[in-house]
Amino acid sequence: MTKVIILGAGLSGLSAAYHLKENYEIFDKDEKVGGLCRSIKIGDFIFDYGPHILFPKDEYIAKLIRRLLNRNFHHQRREAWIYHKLYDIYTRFPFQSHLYGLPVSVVKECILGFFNALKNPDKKPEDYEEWIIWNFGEGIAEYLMIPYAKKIWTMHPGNMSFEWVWNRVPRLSLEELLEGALHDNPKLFGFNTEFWYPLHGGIEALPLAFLSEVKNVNLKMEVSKVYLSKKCVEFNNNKKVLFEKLISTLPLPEIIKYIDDVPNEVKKASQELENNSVYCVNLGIERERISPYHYVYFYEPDFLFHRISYPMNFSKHTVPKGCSSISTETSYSKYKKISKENIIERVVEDLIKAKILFPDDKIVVSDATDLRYAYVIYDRNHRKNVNKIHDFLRKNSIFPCGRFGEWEYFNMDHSIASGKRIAEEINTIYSKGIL
Amino acid sequence: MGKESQKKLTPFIVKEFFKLNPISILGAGPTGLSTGYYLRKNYSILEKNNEVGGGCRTEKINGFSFDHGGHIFYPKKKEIQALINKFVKDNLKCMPREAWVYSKDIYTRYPFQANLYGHSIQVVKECLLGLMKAKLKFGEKPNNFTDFEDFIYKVFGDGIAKHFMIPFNLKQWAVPLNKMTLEWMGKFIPLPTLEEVLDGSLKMSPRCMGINANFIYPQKGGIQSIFDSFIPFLQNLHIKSEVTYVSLKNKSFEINGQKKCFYEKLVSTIPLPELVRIIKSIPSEIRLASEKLRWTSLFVVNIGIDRPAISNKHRVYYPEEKYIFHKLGYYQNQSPYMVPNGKSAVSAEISFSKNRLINEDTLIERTIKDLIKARVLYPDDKIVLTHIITIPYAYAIYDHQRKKAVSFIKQFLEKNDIYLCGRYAQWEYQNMEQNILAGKAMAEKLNAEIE
Repeated sequence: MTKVIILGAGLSGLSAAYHLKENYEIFDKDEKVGGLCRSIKIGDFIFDYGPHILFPKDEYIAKLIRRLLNRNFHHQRREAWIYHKLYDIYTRFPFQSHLYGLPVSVVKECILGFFNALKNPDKKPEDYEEWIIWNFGEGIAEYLMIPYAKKIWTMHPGNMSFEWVWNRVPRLSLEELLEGALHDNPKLFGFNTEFWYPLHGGIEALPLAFLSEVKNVNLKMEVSKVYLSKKCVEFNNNKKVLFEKLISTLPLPEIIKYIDDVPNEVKKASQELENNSVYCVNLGIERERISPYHYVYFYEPDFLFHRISYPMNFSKHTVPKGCSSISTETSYSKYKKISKENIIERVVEDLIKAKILFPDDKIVVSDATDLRYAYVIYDRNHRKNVNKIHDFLRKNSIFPCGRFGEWEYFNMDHSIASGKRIAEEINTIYSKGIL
Repeated sequence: MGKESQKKLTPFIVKEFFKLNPISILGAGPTGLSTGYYLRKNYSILEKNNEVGGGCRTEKINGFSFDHGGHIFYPKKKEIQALINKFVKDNLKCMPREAWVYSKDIYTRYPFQANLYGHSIQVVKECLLGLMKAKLKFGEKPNNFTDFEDFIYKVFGDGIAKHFMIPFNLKQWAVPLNKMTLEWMGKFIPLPTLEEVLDGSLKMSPRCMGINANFIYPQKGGIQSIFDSFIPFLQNLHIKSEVTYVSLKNKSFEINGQKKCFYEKLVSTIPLPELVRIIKSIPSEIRLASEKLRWTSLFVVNIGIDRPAISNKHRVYYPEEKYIFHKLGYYQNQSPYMVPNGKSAVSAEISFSKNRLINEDTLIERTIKDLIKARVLYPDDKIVLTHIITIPYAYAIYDHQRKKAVSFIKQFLEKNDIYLCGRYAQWEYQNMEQNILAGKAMAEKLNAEIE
């Protein structure tokens, strides 16, 4: 009998398989591996399921990715910018480190706010909004941080915790703030100042490289039921598979739905989990080099999307010669619903408003991809609910894994690390004979 | 000077001598003139120079006019404004100050800390960072300063201190700054808020700050013209009459070492150490107290140049030690009558003291060399005039001994009916308006006493 069943052939599932010493079977509902790390090929254009860049920090993971991609990747310096429609200017990302270029009154407010925040270092924050103000002051908070947080998280930062922040929202010293306020400081701040990206095939090249090193991958197999007492997974083609250990990389609310016998309090915790969804509109344009940037952030409510990226600048092999590509991201959730009607046209309209597209640009391909589970949201009950669900699953030999199984803000390297961690945990259990 | 003024200005005449006036005023600078103007009793004013004005005199040479150091007038009190208007209204012009700082080869507006824009990012950053750190450490309104140097670091932070405050003040005061107290400062140094410093860091600011953002200046005759205009309103004003000897016992004094006069009340506006020096058999503790007084002396090196409009500024401050002067004045920009047509002048101020010795023999040469270094003069500029004004008593130094020493001397003198009045006698940092007010207060006191 197969000892370990892995649900989901995204990066964490593939990594778990790769690192497991026991026999396993992987199942994925899609016809391709990769999960959220897939790419969409339309003609000669390649778009990812939301923009993906690699910036592994862990040396082992970095080595693994290098080996898997072989020579199929390159390094780049991140070009991330923020567009201010109000002043029709771009400033560098992150906002707080690059105030230069904004009107003097804005820069002044931001510096004064930062300074005033420094006066009360002991006033510890209780939620993400307070964290923003405590860290950056009123000026930066109100000008950009809070509007942007509302847009991407679809909820007020006052209802969010800030445990996820660690180095994702780059903090800075008074000196760095001033440096960035007084001139166009080219120094990059943040955790992904340099990144890797596959030269060919889009980000999907990474899961595909994993695929060649794992076995027993079963595609187009969607879970329909998990029987806890029988330790059995049933798929929608009625196939049933028994397991000793189940690694689930499915989003927590999904796996909970499939399980036959879930205590009410776990069900409730699962229903309380918060996440956003992202609607990606991908466009291929018949005009060369429409932008030198990788990412541009849009914090103003004038725009549907909160961020756009230019896949063509991640790798030139993602677009045909003479063309450019744009991928836009629009967050939504039960708190902020968006109408998907004419969404491509509306996005194009906003891109014209931002002077990125010309009204007469020829759009040669367009696509709208809905990422139902995009980001985990750290609401105030996040930790409590996740722990409750994880306790229940683990008691039943189900090991939650990956960005949506662990229900954390993981990047690709974290997801690979998560798969490795769970695989090693299971390896240890078997090697010690503790079942 | 009007004809009427000239008629009144006479050297001391012997026969008037014995018609003793009850009040004698030593010195016909702004304070002495004001004292006389407001007195309702008979008085005499004795001035050692051959004209009035004291520290506010103007030298006229070959069509150039040079004040004894840069003077601008910015009276805040209505009564003083009215008084000056009554005297010299038509000759006065009000203008916005064009005061600048030259440092690291660029000009920025004065005060330095409120106009950082234009300096290198490194300098602006150091200044802002220093200010913010000082404010975080010592609060928005620090107090409890041990001395002037301590004040600078606590109020401005180490960036502004390093780039301007410390080097400039060392040059201007010519004494170690930790020897100075803050009593002199009052409202003389603008204390900008972080917001103002940020404003001045992020953009070019056209705004002048501080007490004298606008000022008035006479169009004809330099600063002295204001004080010449007192003359018609005064009595018994004697020039070339230096009091050289005072006897407390007889209540008498000698003029020019010869003539003996008696006084009931003596108002002294002359420098305090000078007064103590001429008093006969002054108690040794008073002499000792006087010896504790410290002051800064000043050379004003005036250069006339055969080139029009060498600058569009009024005054420029030089904090850097590589320039011998701490201040340059272009007074033709306050009034075109200060220079002949087609010419320019620059007045360089160089402080000196026991702590900062300046060689007068090479001073003109050195000043011209530094003016070329500062790109004020071209190496081939034709210099048509060089001239040094020496001001032995330019600024009283507020050190830790001053207050006690001055009040000790003052008490002693008052017991002997000698009253101290004005910048040099009270040993204070007074401006022209304050001198006039000090004279007025003294006159009112004497008017009351005598009635």
